[in-house]
Amino acid sequence: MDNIAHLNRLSKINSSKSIRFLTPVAHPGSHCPMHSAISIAASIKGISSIVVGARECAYYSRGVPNVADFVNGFHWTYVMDSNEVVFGCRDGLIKAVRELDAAGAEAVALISTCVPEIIGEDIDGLIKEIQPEIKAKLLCVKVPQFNCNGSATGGLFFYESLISLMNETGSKPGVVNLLGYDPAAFRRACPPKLITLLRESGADVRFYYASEASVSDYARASEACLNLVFSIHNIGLAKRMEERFGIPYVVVHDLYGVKDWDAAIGVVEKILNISAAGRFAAERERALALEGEVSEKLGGRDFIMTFPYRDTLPLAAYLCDLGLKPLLIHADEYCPHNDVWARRILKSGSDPYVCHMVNEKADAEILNDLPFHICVGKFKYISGGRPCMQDMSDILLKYEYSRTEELLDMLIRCAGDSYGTL
Amino acid sequence: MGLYKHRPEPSGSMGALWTLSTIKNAAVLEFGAMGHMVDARITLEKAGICRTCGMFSTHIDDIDITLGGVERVKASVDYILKNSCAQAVFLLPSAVPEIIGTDFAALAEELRPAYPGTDIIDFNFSGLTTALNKGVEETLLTLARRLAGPGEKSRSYNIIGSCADFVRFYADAEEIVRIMRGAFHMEPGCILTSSASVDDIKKMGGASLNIVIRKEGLAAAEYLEEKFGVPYYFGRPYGLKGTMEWIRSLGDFIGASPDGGFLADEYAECDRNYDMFHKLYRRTKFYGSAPLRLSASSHSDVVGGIASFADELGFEKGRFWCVDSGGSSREIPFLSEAEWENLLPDLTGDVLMASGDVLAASGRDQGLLLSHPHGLWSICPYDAPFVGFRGTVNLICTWVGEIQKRS
Repeated sequence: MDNIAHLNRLSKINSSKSIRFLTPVAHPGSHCPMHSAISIAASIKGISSIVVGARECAYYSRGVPNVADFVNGFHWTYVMDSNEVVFGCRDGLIKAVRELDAAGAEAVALISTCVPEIIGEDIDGLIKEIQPEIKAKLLCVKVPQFNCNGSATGGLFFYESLISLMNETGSKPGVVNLLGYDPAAFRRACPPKLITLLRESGADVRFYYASEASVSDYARASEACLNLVFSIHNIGLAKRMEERFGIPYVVVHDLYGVKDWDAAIGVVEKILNISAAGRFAAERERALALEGEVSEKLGGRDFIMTFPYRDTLPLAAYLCDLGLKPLLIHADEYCPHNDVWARRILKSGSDPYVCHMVNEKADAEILNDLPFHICVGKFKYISGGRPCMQDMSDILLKYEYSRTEELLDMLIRCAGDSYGTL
Repeated sequence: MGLYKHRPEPSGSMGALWTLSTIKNAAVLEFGAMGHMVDARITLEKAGICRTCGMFSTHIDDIDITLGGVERVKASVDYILKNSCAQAVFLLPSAVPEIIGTDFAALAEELRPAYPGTDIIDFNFSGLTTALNKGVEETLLTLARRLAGPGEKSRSYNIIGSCADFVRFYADAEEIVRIMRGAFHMEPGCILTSSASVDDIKKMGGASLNIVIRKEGLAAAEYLEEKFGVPYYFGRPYGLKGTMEWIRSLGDFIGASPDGGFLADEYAECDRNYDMFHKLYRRTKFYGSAPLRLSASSHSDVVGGIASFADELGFEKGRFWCVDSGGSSREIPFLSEAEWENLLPDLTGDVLMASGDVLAASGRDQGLLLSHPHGLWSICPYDAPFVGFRGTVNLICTWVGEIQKRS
């Protein structure tokens, strides 16, 4: 365990900055938040963008999927020269915004990267100053990577900025926004029963997923009486909508256990005045049985969580509920919404090390030395034949108690012959 | 710099990173936000550059920025050298350390005593004020200054300027090697940087000749001539005439006659393709199609060669412009984004060879890619060259394809 003594334990983590790298050098490392922000910006119909920063940011941002495809809007860049690094780029940026406005942009996201943020370029102030003369709605998205580790905050901050697009329409009973749920997945795979329940109860269900939503969709988003959050990127937006419009939200992307789904479904039932009335009974029963079994056979076993499983703390908290013990957890970011999960893990009696994994091969040497019984997440170079849940993508396609079942089934399958004897 | 609708000209730092990326037994360590290195790697992979050296990033946070901390660099160098076979570590700053004034030269100086036998080299020029071509030039010069040694005298030659920012740079260098082997029975020493190892660079001073294939290599060649007495020959052979002239002139320069048998075989192969091209071209004109016009945009040295070959074949002269602001001339000017966008409607019927951005903006596919960026993934490292005899055959075949599309 000496190899990880430089890491902070969960009890010492209060922001992304306190999460240290497992090994000292990134190879390759994580995408920067601009990557997520521009990718989402280029997906939403009616959104245009200007990436403000160094030539590197401008050049590489053009290679991001969606941007390269020129699917929607105008996606331009503003490159700061050495003079602007000293004196600021305000005048040039105002000219650029005017040009984009004249080109017919509906909304423009000014995506501020490391260089403008380090010199303190006041893009918020600039927007306040010129918005009255600009037809396009202006959004400010600050995404310097020196403030974070990974790319998730880019999506989080981008969606948060969309609050500026929303009109105060007043909420209408029965309107439910699904923030971050891909309707294509809804059509393709078995959809969440919760959505089916909402529809059958007469709710007006509206999808807010980047590639299928538009500026005008976001403009009327405040008509909802409930936001269901299906993606880590949308939590900030849901909070802002609650603060500004009083719309309650229920986060479902990070739920795994029966108890948590019970609570979430209960809140939905109460807000919408509907009843699930045994709709989930069979799978809930199976999930409960599995929870008991896993608790009994794997309780007390040590686990680690690796890259690239993104939002690791909620899943770690659930496994702690089942009696497993986390030794080390990879976390891209630590955002305020993680506090609740961190408290739950600590309450279970565990205080795992938290790290950011940025060098797959080098990290493997350290991880293989750790006395864990099971690895949750991808671990290409795992040694000693230890069980590892390499591909967990299927779990995230499931919701409610089916997700619990899928997760625990996978855990049991993964433990294989050693299940119960680890 | 200002507003761009497409990609801007890459920075000097990007030129340095791409140039260093292909050196074997070395590691590139960038001090800056790690997302940049992730994107750089993807860009290189997208261009089919798979044989990269170790590419690492320290990452940087606001505490490093506020306090000027460089501990990450020290820890990273230590880690790389203890866990890899890198014989050299190239330290590159990104925009943020450049703004806060991190002294990379002093940092490298401080690190060197702890790692005897390893070359720790700082590449400390501005990414904010220099463009790609300056970055490539400074990088090649720094490698010559800081790594090249006298080496054992031999009849070998070095190629200077085969770098990852050129499309098909591997194939072009291999064609030069094939020609040198066939025409002069000479073998390469160091191919800077596409096939160079740290050891190869250290032996550069022992070669009998440096062949410089882009203008950014001249400063390094001049340094090596002055320091080790290695003469250099500058040129990039395009087309049959151009290649024959390049070989003859190089033979005169080194006082050797090219192998007549090799030249005759190569000439005959190219000649057959010339005949085929002209037959098809005449037939197209006979049936009333407009004369074919060729336009091109890439590095000034590439465009110059392509333009002269197109003229040799009888193409109508289209518009030629370069993407390296430092290489701008009256014949081949550097065009801003707005200028080349305005030009595109005039090039509608042309055979256009250009960057992925220009081809996409003109509604063409990526088949006639002549410069970065690549619009699509191009992962095959065994493409045919554009230079030399085989480049001649390849370009003729490509243009024959264009004639057939139009007829």
